[in-house]
Amino acid sequence: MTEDLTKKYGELLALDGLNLEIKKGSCVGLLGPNGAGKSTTIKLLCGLLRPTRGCAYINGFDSFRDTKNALRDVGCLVDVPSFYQNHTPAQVLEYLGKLRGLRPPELQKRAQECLELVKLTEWSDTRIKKFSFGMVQRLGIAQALLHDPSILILDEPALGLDPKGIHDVRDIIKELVGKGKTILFSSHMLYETQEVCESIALINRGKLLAYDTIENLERIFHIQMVEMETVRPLRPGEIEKIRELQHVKSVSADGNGGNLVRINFEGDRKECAKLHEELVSNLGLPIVSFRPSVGALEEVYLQLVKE
Amino acid sequence: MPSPPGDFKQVLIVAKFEGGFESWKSVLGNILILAVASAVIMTLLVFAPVRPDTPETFAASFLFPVFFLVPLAAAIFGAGSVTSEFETKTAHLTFSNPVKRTVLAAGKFLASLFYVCCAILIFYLGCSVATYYVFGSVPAGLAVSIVPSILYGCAVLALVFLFGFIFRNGVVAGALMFAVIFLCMPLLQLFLSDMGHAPWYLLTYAAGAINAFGGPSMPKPVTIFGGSQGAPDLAISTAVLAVYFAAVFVLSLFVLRRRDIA
Repeated sequence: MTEDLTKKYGELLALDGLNLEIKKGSCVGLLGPNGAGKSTTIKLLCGLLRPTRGCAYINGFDSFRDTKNALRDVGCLVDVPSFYQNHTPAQVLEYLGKLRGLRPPELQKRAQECLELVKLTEWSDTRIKKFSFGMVQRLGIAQALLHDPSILILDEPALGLDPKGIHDVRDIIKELVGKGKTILFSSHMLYETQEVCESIALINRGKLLAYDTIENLERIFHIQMVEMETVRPLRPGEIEKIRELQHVKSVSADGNGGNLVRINFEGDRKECAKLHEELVSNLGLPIVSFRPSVGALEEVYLQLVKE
Repeated sequence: MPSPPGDFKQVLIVAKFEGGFESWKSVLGNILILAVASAVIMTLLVFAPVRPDTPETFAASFLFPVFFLVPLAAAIFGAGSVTSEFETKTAHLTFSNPVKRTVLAAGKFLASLFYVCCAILIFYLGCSVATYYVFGSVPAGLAVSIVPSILYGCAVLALVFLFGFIFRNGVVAGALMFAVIFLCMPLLQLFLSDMGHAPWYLLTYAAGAINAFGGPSMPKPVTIFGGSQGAPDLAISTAVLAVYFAAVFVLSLFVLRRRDIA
């Protein structure tokens, strides 16, 4: 929870009176363009920065003034993590585990589990200086999970990872959400965020622009978007017919050969079902897939950031 | 969910990691470097063409390099330990743990102090062996002077930590510490001594207690500038060194507590 959290770097106002409350067991995505204040928020929550005004609390403890109590049940991944280059993952995890109160043999067991989770088991005794950027990032995730915290604060956890790595991180986060962990993570990747988070906190220029569930945000901004794939590219006449349907606001076709169609419409899930029925039954379109599109969140994001 | 250990336990965990104490190879390597450096200096002193004629004056003159060895060891082991966290950004990793910043600093200090003390003790051991080799006896004053030597090490190390936390750069921290110890304070000491005042409260003057058992004519860093040291009182100087250490270290913790880890 943050209360009027403000951070100034000299004259630059990086965060301006942020009020954010994250409920236990929820997964919140912190979204915003570069320089919006995402990393500053994360660093303030992790006790790395001294607030110019206001406070950040974790489990009721001030994260800057009472770091030890505030972070005891928190796993942090701040920025692109830097590790002691001449040490091995096993050594670093042993050190951090001891600091967090893990004792052997539990410590070794947890370290093994975490390294296995991020697929670094076979590198556990290799010096970190030999690691690639993505491997360092994965080790960062492993150390955050080491003491099995119930709160996770992750700054761009998928940054620098290859598509497989991004997919793995997404699965890890989904699994943690399923276990009831409270997660706050910042990201640029709208699709990733939509896949794992139920709520979004959107910040820009240090200000919180919106904080709600994705569904509510889409409703507030009257944005519903579906992505439809067809067997063959749609003819201009067919696209025109879709445009004429009730509640449809816009239609765009792209993908290879134009068989990927995005439909922006007004309404809720019922309207979405009706739309599907009309496209199949009335227009007879050869639809392969029909699903909500990340474009809706993108649209909300762009609208808010533009404002 | 495990509970983080108490502050003292965490200090020891940090010190063990920072000092590389998990690996005896790493500790032995560092001690070997200090031993070789000390052996070179000691050999030069033992075989110097002009040699003091009593065990006290011999041992006291022999200790003169301690004034340089201690700041050098403090710069090598202290500056890197403090500033590398900021320079390589590992501070994001360590400072975002359930550990007080003061605990992290204390652990690093303890690890650095271990090596500074090793440097001092190796040199004292060499001095004892050399004095015994030349005169057949070791003066009692030599053993007593270990206390101000170690306190001098603590104070200088605290100064390195203070500059390290302020400037977050190892080279700057080391350079500023050398400037304070070998330029600013000796010049001030010289100026005050010329005015007929014994500046017992200055760190460099108090450090003179290290080899004061040899008499007032023993060499000190200030003599580089042409001044004379006088004879610092052992008890007062020891207290002054302890106060410098405590005050500067507390100040460095205060700086670290307010510091942004950006």
